[in-house]
Amino acid sequence: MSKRLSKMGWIVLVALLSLALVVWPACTTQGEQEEEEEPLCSLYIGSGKLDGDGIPVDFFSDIHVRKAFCYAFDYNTYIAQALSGQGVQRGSPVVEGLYGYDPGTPMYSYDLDQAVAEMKLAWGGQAWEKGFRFTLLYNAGNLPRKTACDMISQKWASIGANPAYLDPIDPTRFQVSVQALAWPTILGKIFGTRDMPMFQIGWLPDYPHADNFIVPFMGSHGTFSYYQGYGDTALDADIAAAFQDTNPVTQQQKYDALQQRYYDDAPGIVLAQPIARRYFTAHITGFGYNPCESAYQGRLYDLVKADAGGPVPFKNPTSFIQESIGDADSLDPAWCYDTASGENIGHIYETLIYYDGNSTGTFVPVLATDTGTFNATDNTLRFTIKTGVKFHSGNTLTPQDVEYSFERAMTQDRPGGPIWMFYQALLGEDVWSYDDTDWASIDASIEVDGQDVVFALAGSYWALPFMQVLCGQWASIVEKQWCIDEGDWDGTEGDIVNHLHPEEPGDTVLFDKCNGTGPWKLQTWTSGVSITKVRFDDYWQGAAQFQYVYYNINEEWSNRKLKLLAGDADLVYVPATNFAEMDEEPGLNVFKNLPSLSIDAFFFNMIVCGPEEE
Amino acid sequence: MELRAYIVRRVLLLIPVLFGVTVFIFGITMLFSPIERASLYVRSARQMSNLPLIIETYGLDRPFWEQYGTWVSQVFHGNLGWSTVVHMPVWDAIWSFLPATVELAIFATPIIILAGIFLGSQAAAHKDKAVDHLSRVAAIAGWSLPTFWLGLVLLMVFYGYFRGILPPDRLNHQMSIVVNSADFVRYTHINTLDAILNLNGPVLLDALRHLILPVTTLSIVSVAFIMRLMRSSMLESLGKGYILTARAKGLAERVVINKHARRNALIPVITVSGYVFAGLANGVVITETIFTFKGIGWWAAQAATRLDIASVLGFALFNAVLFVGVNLIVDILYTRVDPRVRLGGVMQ
Repeated sequence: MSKRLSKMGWIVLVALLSLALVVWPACTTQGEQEEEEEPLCSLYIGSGKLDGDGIPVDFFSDIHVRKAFCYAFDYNTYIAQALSGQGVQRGSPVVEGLYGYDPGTPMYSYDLDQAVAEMKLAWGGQAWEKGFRFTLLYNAGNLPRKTACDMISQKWASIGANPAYLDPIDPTRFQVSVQALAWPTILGKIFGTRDMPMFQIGWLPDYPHADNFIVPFMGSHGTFSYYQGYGDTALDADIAAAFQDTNPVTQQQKYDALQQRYYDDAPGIVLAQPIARRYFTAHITGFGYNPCESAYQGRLYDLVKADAGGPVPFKNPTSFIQESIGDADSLDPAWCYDTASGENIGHIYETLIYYDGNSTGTFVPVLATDTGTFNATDNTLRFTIKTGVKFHSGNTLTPQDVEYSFERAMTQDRPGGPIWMFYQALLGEDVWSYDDTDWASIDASIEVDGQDVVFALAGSYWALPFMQVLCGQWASIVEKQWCIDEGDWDGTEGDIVNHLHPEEPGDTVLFDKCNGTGPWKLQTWTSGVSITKVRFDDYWQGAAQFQYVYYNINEEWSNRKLKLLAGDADLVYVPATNFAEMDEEPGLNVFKNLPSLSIDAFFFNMIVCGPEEE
Repeated sequence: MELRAYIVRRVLLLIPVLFGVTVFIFGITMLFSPIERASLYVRSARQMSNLPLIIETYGLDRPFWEQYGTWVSQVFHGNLGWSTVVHMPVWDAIWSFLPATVELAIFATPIIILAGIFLGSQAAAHKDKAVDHLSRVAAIAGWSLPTFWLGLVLLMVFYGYFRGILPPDRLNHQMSIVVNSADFVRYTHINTLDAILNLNGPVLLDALRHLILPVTTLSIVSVAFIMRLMRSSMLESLGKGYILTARAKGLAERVVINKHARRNALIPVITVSGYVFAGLANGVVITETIFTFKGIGWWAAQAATRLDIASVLGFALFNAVLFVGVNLIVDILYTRVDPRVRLGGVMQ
């Protein structure tokens, strides 16, 4: 008996000890984090001094350091290795295809001589004499970003080991180590602790206008530039002046100047604008690409599936099956700010206007009868709403539905969502969310006039960008009465508080309930597995070809590839690293050289861990 | 000890187990800073500019026991939290993804056990002969194969090369339309069971066809475990005195092995079989991902890599309940199989 007890006793003791070992530091970490007297705020700056063993927190505030790093990056090798050649270097965040793009923007070339010359000028020559040591981080699993970090590390090591630059050579003078962390951790460091000397992140267009790329990269409150400590009020004024210029010629000149400014200031290393591809089976024709749909399968309604023969079997003639990675966040248009949600919402709902073909600056009417009339005297944009358009519920589209769709979005205003675009365009540059305004202003900004809907823009310079905003899935039209019946906002000021600032996607009524005017209705959404849609036979343009549309979430590359080749999928997502192996596969309809409106870049942190608290 | 009392006592043991497991995992997740954990609630770069609001809303900087206490009180209200990776309550997520894994487990477990028993007893009965060596080598080879490699190779051969004979997924598109339609009642969400209950032949056949590859992958990899155990258990059994007696009595060798030796050798295998089932029901994330047969393993892996803490904790609870339950069933089975064992007593 006693022998057994002591054995039990040992087991319990060991268990408690290991529990304590885990729980104790976890308990104490919380409290200590605020008060910790750490000599350095960051693990990634070495000694924290310019002594050859680290970098000071303001290392990158010296422009010569930044230029040296820009010259020391081998852009062509990066594109060849990390993007399989499917990319083009750009000189500023404003990429080709955006309104305001300047093809004449200078770009840094890979030039180690220049890099050395710049570094010798940095910090009074001390940066070159003493050298530096710091850590670069990337999000685990992202091969292109890892490649970019490794290249920086290798190039600077090679400079130290090159007798033409350093005699005697000193291979350890310029040390950049590379580390991987999970993406949520990296995000926490970029936007929270700011303790990385350089960070890497990408941007996709909300609306394809230079402003939408310049503000996050150069504005003093920009999404990225704020956290890297770049930008000032003078530059903000230039950015606002460019956006508000109604003369296209002078506006383009201002945008040229801003792009030149980015090159001159070198606040980051702009990597490349990727070139996209689409992989369909040979049985799918009719694909039309638009750069704003950088992840979409195009206008699904226009696609045709017919037996084209060939090695890929022809299956499921009335279904369109797409296999991709990543589940939708929510099917609520007012929530939607990710590509997977946008793709699926685009099958179920429709907007007032849409891009014309592959243009990003001209439009065709969808639920409106024309592409809008802009009245320059009172800055209003007027749309006449089509008649005879049916929702999936069977009811007819009215202008009140259009008004409700926008007001609903603006009174829901989920944190971190897309609705800031409505606020900025309709209520002005000081209004970013519902908290900056009130119901009366929102109500007044969108009015119904007979069969028309009138938007009151904050400035005439919003005419074109707002039309681009109207092409996004967040501007989809929902049915007012149906939403109210389902428990959504009832259209009155008093009910706003019940729906404002939802925290989780599931908090909104339209999360997984859909009623749009689009060619397909939602059938089932199995989270993490698939979203299936079924044909809406009363679609106003005529019933679609596909009776079923599937969006399957499939993270396994080989599985996706085999499905495409077996004809069980019509379109699959192919990562850039697998382009080469797909080139040899017959029976496919592949669209290459599609320009995508995205950019990936390094950002120099001007003051690691951020400036002193104000 | 009476069976009912025994069961009650064992179920009550579940509470300290759950407490220990959840404190442990909760503690590990607390090693991340509030800012790092806050980024879980973020969908876009823009939202990160409001970190203090997120930290305050979710109470991420409160002391450990306060956060744990909040979570525990939520659980008692039936709220296991929201699973951000699949956008549904954790409770719903578990019940949504469990059927697929259970379906795999239901088919793989008997195959693993029966194949293991058969191979093991053959190997033991023909010790050191060709049969013995071959089956041991084959089983160990299967055990050593990485699941992801084997699964992909099987997929490439039977789906790619042989033009889609054995496809991935749970059902093909026609059948999934049938299964989602109004006249097909979803009793269990396990496709084969539901097809039987709905008396629908084509769905049953299609579901079975889609099960072949993942179940084969799982079986090949796991059969060695049972096989080795059975073999050594059988050898021990064959060395016992009563076997000598049985042979002396003139019984046929087949009867000696099957009736006398094997039954006694099965005892440890039964003990382990429960764990085989629990291990599979736990989730086999690689197989589930490769064959897009998404079950609870896939969900748990997604939750872990994306720091979906609510899901991780919910899964830990589920696992604790599963293993305690399986333990209990195995122990009860054990007493039925081995008359020498009494519940809670000492083996005579």
